Amino acid sequence: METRDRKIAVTLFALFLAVRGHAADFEKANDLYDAGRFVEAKQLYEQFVDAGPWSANLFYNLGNADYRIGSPGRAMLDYERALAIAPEHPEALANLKLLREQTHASTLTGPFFESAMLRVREDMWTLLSALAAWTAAICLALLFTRTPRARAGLWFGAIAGLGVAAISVFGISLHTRDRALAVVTAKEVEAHLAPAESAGLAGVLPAGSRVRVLSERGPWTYCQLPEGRRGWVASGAIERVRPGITPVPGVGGGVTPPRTFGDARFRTRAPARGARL
Amino acid sequence: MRFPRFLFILLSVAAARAEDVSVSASLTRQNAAVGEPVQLQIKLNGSSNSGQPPSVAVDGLDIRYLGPSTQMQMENFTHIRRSVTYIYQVVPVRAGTFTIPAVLVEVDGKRLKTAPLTLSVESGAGGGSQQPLDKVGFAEIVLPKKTAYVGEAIPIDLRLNVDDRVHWQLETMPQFEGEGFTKTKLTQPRQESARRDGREYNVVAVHTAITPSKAGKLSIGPLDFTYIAQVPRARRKQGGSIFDMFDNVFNDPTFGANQRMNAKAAAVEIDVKLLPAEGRPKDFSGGVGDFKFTAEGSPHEVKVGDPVTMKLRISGRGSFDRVEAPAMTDPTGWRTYPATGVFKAEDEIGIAGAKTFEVAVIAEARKTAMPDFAFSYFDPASEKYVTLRSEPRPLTVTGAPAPPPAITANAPQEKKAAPTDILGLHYEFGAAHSSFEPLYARREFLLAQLVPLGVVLTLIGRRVLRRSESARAADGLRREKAALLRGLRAESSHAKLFDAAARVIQIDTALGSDRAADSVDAATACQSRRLDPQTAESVAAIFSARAELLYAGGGSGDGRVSAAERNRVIETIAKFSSANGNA
Repeated sequence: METRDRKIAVTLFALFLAVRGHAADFEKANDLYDAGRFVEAKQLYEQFVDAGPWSANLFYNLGNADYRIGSPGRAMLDYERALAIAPEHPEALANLKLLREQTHASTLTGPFFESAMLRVREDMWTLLSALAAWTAAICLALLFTRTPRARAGLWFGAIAGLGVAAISVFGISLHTRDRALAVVTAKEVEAHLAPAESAGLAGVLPAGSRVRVLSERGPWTYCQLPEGRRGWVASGAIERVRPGITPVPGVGGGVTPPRTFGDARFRTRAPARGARL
Repeated sequence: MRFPRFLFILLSVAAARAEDVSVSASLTRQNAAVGEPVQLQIKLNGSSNSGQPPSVAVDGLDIRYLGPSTQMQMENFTHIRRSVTYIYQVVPVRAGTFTIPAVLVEVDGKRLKTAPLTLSVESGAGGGSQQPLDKVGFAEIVLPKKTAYVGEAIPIDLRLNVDDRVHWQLETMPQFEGEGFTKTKLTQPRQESARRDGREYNVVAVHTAITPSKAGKLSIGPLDFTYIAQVPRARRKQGGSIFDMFDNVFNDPTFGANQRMNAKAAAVEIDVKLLPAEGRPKDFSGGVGDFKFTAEGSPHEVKVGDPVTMKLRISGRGSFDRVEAPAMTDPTGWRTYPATGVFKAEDEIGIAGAKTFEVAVIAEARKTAMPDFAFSYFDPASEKYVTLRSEPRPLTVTGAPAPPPAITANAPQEKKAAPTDILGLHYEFGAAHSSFEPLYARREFLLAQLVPLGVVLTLIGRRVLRRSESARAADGLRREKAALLRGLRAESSHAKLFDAAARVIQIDTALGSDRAADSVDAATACQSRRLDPQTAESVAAIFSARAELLYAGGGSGDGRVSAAERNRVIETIAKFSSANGNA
């Protein structure tokens, strides 16, 4: 018993030290950035990303470092990741807008209601759908146990719960579709009509442009492009906003991308922390 | 026959010499307008002296001697009368009534005087000119508009209008100066005719254009035209006499005197406005006017890295000197070089024509269309900025794109090129997230769903349990009812018969509702079914008889139940059981 308590105490102390060290290293990366040592700051931020956990601010700061060293495409990818965690992150939104203007990046646009629904986080839709669905289920269960006078309210609760749950599921499906979202990290990339360099051009995408991954074939990725077009893009020129998520078949093509961040590591590294990612 | 006639003439001339000499003066008209020439004639009758003509001068009248005129007239076929007429041109300089004084003439040693003459001069000339006499011609500066914008090219006409009866020639080109504008070179003079105020004029017009460089009131002019005019002597007289014939000869303008004359055009003002700042396109270079824009490129098939020559043609009317090469709207994937422009004027003053720019563009990546160019200018007519775009032209670019330039860690040039900068760092780490995995795929979320699932299952389970208990109770009542019905048919005791019958009715009523069987009385039983009055009465009688027999001992008679009475009870129970429920 005494040995067990000692183990718990040691574990908690190690966790405390790790958290303190984590915060100190993050401050160190910020100091490097403030000192104009952007490359070192970027490397330190990337170590955080590899080690986890992440935060919207971590990706935001990494985006700033990428921008400072002249990688606007990667910077925009980092800002997109920050917004994937915190959709209302004001600084990430502002910097992303500025960089889109500078690079003339094109974005995927949809109907207004889709944009409005995507502004609500997927987790919120999930909680709302669960709450509404269970409310409907409980109301239906009570319908068979209560007196007739309470049945009207129970029917209303059940129908309303089912309606809200349906809307929430639609919101989740939109987010599910966006899990295949990728950003052009190269300065400029050509989209071809077929997975070959000699194929005709489907478009030219500036850095930071948004595409939606549909499927992959060797070094080529089939993408939905802005303005409703589709084309094949060199896989090394784009990177997913949310790595490690298996797209829903029919939406993202059922492709499971690698589960780590980073440039060269993206395509070659084995999933080391699969459960986390 | 010829000799006697010649002798006669010689005799007549000799006789004429002997007659008296007289002198007279006359004006062709007593009324004239300023600038309108009138002829003064001083006639010497009976003398052929054509010596020095007398000088005549009057303030307000420009009197010039034109020449003599000699006449001979035969009187009564006996002698010839000779006369000499001195002809002067009188041109009124100003309005008023003028008196030409008596003129002293010396003829053959005699001093003779003419009578004074009066000439009335009005200010308005009969030909409609309102110019003073020294303005046989007048000059003017003609502007097409009174307001303009800075940078707008405005055509100007400098016109010299001269009475068409006057032979004249332009001596010097007009010169004018001013501040706040630039002007183009004057064109060569062009002659034309014009009718102004009912008078015909010969017009020399010189064109130029000015471009205001600042806002406010701009004054253009004044300017001077200098020309040599041959002033006509007088009007031709209409008549058929030999004197009139000679008069017309001398009045011909070709016999007029040359004069250097000057015509001054008054200054004109124009109101110049600044170009509006609102709505000014970023690529606006200062062109003001009305333009068209076309763009063509060649060749239409190139490889990556090969140049395409774009010809950007801007045509129309306006300030071409301010027109610069159109800008590429989206330079992504293109490399451009400075453009060269050539202007070809379509008028003399250079405000109409076409300016063509040639610019070499190089596709750094594969393209499917020529680059898009835009040209912006200000239209003074609509007072708005206009942006014209080139029409898309197909282009085929083949080959592999050049690799993007490596960006070094410091990349200072890109930072400097940014018009604005990004926002700074966040110094707090913020809420930690360990995954992009959606909430519904996480184990903790799925486990949390067990709570509401348990609630729902509990509710359903309770309902199932309750339903089974009720079913068991109902089965028991049905079994009891069946046993009682079987006993009724053999029952002979009044008390037992009515007790069993009432119990059956109670069970029937309880099975049709959620009431307990023991709590059912006759009224409750009758209300639970739609019974005819006779059956309801029989039910009530059963309950009443049972109560009487059980509690009041009224059933202690002979104790035997007749078959008819038993059948009525059984029939009542059957009717009760088969009746529909009220609930």
